[in-house]
Amino acid sequence: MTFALLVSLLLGQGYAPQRQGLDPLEAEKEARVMRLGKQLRCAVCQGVSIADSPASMARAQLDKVRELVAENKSDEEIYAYFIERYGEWVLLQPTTGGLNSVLWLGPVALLGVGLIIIVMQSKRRAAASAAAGAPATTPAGPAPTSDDALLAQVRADLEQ
Amino acid sequence: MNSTLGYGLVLLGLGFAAFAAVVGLVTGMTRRENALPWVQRAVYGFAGSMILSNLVMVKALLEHDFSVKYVSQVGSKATPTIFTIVSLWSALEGSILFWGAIMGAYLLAFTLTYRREHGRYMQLSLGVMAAVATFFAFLIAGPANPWGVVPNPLSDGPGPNPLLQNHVLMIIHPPMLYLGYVGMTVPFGIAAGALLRGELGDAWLVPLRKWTLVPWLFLSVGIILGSWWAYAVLGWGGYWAWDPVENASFMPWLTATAFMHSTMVLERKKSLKLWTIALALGSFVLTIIGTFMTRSGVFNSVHSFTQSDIGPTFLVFIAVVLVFCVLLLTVRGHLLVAESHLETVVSREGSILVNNLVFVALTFTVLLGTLFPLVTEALQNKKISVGEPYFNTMALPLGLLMLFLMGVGPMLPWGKADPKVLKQQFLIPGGLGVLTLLPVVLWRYGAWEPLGGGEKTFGGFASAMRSGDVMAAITFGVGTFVTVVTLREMFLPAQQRMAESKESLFTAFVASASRARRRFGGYVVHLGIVAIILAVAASSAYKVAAERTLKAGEAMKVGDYSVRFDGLANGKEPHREWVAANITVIGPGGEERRHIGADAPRMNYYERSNDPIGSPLVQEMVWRDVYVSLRTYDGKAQTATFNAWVFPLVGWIWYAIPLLVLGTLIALWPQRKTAAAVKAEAPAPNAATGTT
Repeated sequence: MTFALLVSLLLGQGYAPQRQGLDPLEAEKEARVMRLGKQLRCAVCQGVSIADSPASMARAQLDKVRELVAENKSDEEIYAYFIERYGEWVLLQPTTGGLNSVLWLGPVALLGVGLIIIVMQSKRRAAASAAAGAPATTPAGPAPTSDDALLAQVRADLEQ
Repeated sequence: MNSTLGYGLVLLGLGFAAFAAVVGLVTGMTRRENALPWVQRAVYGFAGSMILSNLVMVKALLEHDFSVKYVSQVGSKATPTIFTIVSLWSALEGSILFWGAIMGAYLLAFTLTYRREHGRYMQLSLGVMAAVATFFAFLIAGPANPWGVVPNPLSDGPGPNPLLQNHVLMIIHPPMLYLGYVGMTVPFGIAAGALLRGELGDAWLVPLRKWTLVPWLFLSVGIILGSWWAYAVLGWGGYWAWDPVENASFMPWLTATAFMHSTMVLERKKSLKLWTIALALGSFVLTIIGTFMTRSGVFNSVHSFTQSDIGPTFLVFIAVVLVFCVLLLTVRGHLLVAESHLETVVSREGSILVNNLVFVALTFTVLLGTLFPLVTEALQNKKISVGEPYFNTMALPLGLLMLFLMGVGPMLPWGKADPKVLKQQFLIPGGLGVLTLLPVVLWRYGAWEPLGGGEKTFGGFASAMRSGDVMAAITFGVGTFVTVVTLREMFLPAQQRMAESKESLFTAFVASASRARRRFGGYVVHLGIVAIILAVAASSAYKVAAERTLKAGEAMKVGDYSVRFDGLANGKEPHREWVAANITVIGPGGEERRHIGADAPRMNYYERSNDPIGSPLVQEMVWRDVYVSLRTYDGKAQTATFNAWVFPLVGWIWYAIPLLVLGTLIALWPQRKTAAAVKAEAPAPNAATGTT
């Protein structure tokens, strides 16, 4: 691009690929617009919400949200409007039904099962050591006395 | 000429790597240890040829030798010299070549460090690492060859990707990440070697730990610098978007962090052996999957400038590595027998176990969320998105749990804890944590406002929960708790020394810290992580945003600041032209700061790109940033539309980098082996190890 062209764009035809967009609504409604906008995916960007994207397409979509909010449409109705036009893909936060439950419950299940295993392990040890009437030490492990330091060093050296 | 030389060096490197892999693995398995010098020589050869090949590429770039395919893709005579050098990693082929050089440097450093070690220990590790190196050398020689010859070279090229020329951070961020990614090959080699050998004594463990810490640090710094770059360049006011490629770098970081913690249990208790090894293997696998995500073009992201058709080759490699890891763990895993078991969850080892669980759960969440759209598309032929809201919802509670454990863990003793002592220890940090909640809540309800920048509208509890407001307050409470515990753990030994031997605070502090460098370094890193978490919480929950179209002379309010538009300007640099919106930022006390021309928010026009690339103005301050982004302008009407934000504390994400570096260096610093130190440091049973 030449400098002259740049100047002509600057002063002349009004180089404005991006939409100016509607003015924000009053604070409470605008907060709702932004919250909804955060959940909707910009159609031409890379995984960015329409609230975050500077692209003109996203501005237009956000303006549509403003319109719908101004008409006092519910969240569900607004989502439905966008899903109808762009498919489920438009929701940045996937729905909870069907196969998607794997997405939501998988990590929770992992955490739960893990915790159960850890607690059961410690319970079992506690029970075992109580039955033996001794603090739970490893039967095979060497007793941790300071005399063993030399022995340990020798073993470590042998291992090399 | 350059092409022939560079490509020849790549082939040479491939030969050396393959030789080292075959000889290392075969003689390692058959226990012929006299072959070690040959493996070492081959590794040196590989490192030398790879590094030389990169130097030749830098030379070709500087000479603007457009007969080299890669130079013809990214070179341009208009590009400033520094960005010409940097363009070595600005596109796929070059970055894989650079990857080879880093791989060479790592293997060289590792081999030199342990050159006097016994072959039994080294051959298998080096063999596995060299096998990975062979794959990458093959990639450079074949599918991602940068050394192709252009028959009729043009006199100039297009220059590197404009996004990469826009900020100086682009010079440091990619090499840091590469150093993190590639470095995971070393612990992978050691861990796989240990499994192949069927033993895991201290001889394996110490290098395994140290050589995980090195790439961990680079990965941490690389991730933070990447987020800083996104914040300073992309202009949407964020630093982390859960982009597939960001996720790809985050996952190995999570598993490597988990590894660093479980390795303490392994050392102390001789348990979690298999688990720790699995984490080391997993971190490497995740770096390879991450590379695949970045390079294959399966995902669209900010990083997709590096797309190419190396995907299939990579998939095969991932499959081979996965099968290798699973086979190793199932066939050799039983050789790593735990020598103790968990007694109670309320103990240091218990807390580390829970920490590991949370880290793995988060890794799983990120992996699941990243891959899930591919799964539904394959199974149901339905396109869905898994974006920021999902990851935030899932990561927030897990992150908070991690933060909490960071305070609880250091407080708990190994083995059984005395509940009475625990209660006593918990009292002060816990109390201070609750106290922190108070001003935050008061401030948010508008009753107390020394910090400024907050909105006073507060739409009830439900909307507060949704906006993350309450969660942020809780984060601050827990963060204070962790900070107090950490500082106490850092200073308590010094205090005891002062009481015992009447040393000054400084001497006592230095002495006690150098006694337990790893622990101490770990705490310094913890403080850095706390700073990052608090900065993330504050900057996302307490940010203020505004958006307006201004005529020259008009101003808009954003929090306690106003932004005045002073008119448009334009300018020209060798590689780009720009249009800027001059502004003045007026602070709460009326102080004005003018931003003109190159220093103002602007749109940059590069020859190579049709769309302008914005650069925001970030007025960085210690406690908050004012961030103004030019969205559109109208030259005829002399108006400009701005997005403006005030982000409290956001800078602390990057200010934490020195703490992470310092802590890691303290932990890595070699311990001098004085007789006293050996006695004090080594609890007897720790040295006797392995199941051989």
